[in-house]
Amino acid sequence: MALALFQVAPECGKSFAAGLEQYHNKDFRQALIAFRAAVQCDPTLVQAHLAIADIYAERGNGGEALAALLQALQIDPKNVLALRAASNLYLDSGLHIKALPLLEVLVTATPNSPDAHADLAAVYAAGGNREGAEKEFRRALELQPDYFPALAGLGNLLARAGEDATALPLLRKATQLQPKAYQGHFLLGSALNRLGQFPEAQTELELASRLGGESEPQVFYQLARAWGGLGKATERRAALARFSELTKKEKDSAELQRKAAALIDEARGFLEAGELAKAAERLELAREASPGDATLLFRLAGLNFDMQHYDVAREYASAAISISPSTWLYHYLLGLIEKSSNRLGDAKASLEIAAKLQPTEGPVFNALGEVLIAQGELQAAVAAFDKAVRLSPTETLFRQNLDAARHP
Amino acid sequence: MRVFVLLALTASAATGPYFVEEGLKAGLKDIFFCGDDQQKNYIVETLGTGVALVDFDNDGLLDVFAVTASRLEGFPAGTEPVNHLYRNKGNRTFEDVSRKAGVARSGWGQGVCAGDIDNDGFTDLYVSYWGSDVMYRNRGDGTFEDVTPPSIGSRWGTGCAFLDYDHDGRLDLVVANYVDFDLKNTPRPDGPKPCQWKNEKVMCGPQGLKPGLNRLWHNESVSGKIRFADVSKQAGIEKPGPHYGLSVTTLDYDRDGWPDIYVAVDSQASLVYHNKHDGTFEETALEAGIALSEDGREQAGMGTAVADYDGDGWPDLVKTNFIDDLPNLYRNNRDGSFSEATVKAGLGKYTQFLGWGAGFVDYDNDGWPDIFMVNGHVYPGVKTGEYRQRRILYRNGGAGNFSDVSPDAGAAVMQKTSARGLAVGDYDNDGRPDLLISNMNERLSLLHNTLAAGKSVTLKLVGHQTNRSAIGAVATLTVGKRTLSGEVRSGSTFMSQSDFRLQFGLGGADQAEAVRIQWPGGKIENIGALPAGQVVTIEEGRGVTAKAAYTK
Repeated sequence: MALALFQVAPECGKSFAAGLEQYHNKDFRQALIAFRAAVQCDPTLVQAHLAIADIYAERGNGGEALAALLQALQIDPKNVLALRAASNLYLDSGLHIKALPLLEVLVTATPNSPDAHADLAAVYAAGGNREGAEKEFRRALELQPDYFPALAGLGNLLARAGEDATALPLLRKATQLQPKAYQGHFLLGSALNRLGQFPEAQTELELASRLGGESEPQVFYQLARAWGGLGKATERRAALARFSELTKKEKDSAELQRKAAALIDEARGFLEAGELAKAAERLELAREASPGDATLLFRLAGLNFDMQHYDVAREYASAAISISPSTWLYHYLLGLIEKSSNRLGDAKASLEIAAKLQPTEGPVFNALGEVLIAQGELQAAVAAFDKAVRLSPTETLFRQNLDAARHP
Repeated sequence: MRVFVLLALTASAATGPYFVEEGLKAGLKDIFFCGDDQQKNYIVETLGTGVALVDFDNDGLLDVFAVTASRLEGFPAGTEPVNHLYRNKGNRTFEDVSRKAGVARSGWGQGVCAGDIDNDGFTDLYVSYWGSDVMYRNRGDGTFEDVTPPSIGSRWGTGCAFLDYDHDGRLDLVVANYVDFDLKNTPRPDGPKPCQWKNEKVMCGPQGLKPGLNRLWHNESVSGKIRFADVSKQAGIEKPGPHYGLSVTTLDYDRDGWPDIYVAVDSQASLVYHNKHDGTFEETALEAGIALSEDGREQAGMGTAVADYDGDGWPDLVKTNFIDDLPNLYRNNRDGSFSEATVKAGLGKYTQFLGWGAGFVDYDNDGWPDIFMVNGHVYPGVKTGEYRQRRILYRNGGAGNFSDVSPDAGAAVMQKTSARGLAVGDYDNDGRPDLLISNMNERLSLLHNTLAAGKSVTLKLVGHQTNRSAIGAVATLTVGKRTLSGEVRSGSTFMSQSDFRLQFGLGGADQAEAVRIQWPGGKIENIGALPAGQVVTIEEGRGVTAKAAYTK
């Protein structure tokens, strides 16, 4: 990501510059905090949203990355970086229909970009718009005749439509251009299967499996077809067995995700009925199914906090923070947990981070003030309560706390 | 041979229309319901219903049986839609005999299949329901009695087929069950947790809903007392687990003399139960190459049809699928496996159709089975697809290639409906196969084949030691240098029943020089030459017992 190619509004530049520095130092956690602060200072700072998205994407948190990109696009709907990154995230999740409008804008914004045309073509192809797909792939190849995704994509499109004579040269060229990309060999092998050219298909597909396609079920399905065409029953069976194994793995994973979602729904029901223990039980089961879900961990932390199981709550909150370190709510909750456990130093540290990430939340400053009071830091407590009251002027409790701190 | 080629060419060059809509004129005036037509809130409203072309009164004319579902909000008492039986009066018109026959039942009907379960010479019916399926025994006097096995239970039955899987001479029954459906706990599109398709709120399913289990019933009827036992577990039918099963077709795909069962499955891999000759089956669709798409993807399989489209003597398979996908044409490799030939054969042209009933129909009598498909969307209101879709007639060019001849075939083929069931049969005995289609919340379509091309001969097979319907019998005809073959089949297409009789297009040939019948169990009977232009009855062990010239 081209983080240094833009200008920053002067009053918010400090946070943004700090973020950049941390980013270049690879301290992504601190970078996130700084970029968040920059966004708080100037919500229209597209570059900060993009930087946040970049860091989340790097950490594999596609949901947060996408949220940041969509915010960037609200501010600048034709932002090429955001359009490209958001559409890629949608494509990675199989949400072609959501990627489509972004790519259509991207193609008009960057009419000479072969990758925009090729991506749009891929989405058209997935949606059954063969004509549109072919046109866009061909446009991409006009712009860059050696563009691998367009060669492979157009070759595949034509091969699937039975236009083998046109498809094969494109696919062969793609494999020559990127001999180490398994996708090219896979598509070429599949096309050769369709034509009944099994010896060459088998060679290409074996190559695809060695070059990174070893966990792709479809590679083995095609390989089985090639072995079948060659009359090699044992090899065909082995390839089909591998295909079944990989498919089962994919399905199991999807099933776990589905189960997790259903358990969360059940937990919500119990929560609404005030049955906290049952809700926690369902969420724990959901977590087993989907261990990397920060929101789920946060919910579990909150429930255990409500049930005064502070050690368990702390564990969940810390796990949520390790996945999504710039979410102020997680730090806030951890602060509350530590405060209730009487671990005041840790509580103060967490609440200070929360306050930095989200400087407009009165409850955070109020909680921080309460911790500071307990630690005997009266002056700092007054400042915290004062900020809480200013942010939430109607909150009686915050005002009472401020008065009590001023007149101990 | 030259004459044959010339005549075949004449057939292909004929101008349309080949098919003319005659349903209403013929007296098929009733509407067959399945849910709301403007908004489908539940998946149960989407499958439509099946149709059958069967000769229930043995007068040599195909009658029509059509299933209806209902509407979720119901109908005023006394006006509920019912299944209809229309008797063929012989002048291309029908009369409604549903009430007299005792089959005018209401409920959420789905599919129908036929077979002579008690070998009394009269065709019986099985009607699947979202609810309890119904088995009707044909009393032979124009009426039917309900002989539903008490253990049939309440499920969501879809496709069904009769077959004699253990060669005991009695027809057994296989039934696909789609979803273990619970209306109360299924989200609606206008509810708090709607499902989405292409960013639009739609009804949910089948994914996310509990799949059903296919059932196999063994016929244990004795002395006229109808009894069927559920053998699904011991026969291995349950072993692959629950699936969203839709159409059922039987075929002996490896030609080992024992019937296998193919189930087109929605949103999962389709299944083939390979008959192990000992009363059990093994699911082998993946190994056989008919479980998935050409690139190894699960598809939404709907309807199926079987025929030897390439003239090699082995049964091939066609399957319709959901929108944005291609149908499958699986060519039999003659080694227990199939290769997908969809694109190569010319069936890769369209992805905008959501296919249901499919049938091989040699409409031009050139001896090459053509393909007919009916289509229609499941989501009435969506912006991204047509709810009512046209039908497709693919002409078999004889070299493994098909071409869409629908526009030439006439307005009846190009008509847009949300069609589901399809049955193929020659209802006016003129030697040309006709088509019966069920359209969701509309009247039936009856497409009369008017194409004066090619000659044909029709075989009515009657079993004696084997089942009376001769289901599973294979006829092989020698015509010049070509060999034509066909199998008597129950079920197939989409939840529908086609004519049991086997109609063979002979092109320009005046006769089939030789006819060979392989009865279930493997007994071979050689019949001599059979001239074109007639319906020939061949009884097991007795040869030709009747001949009736085609009507003009």
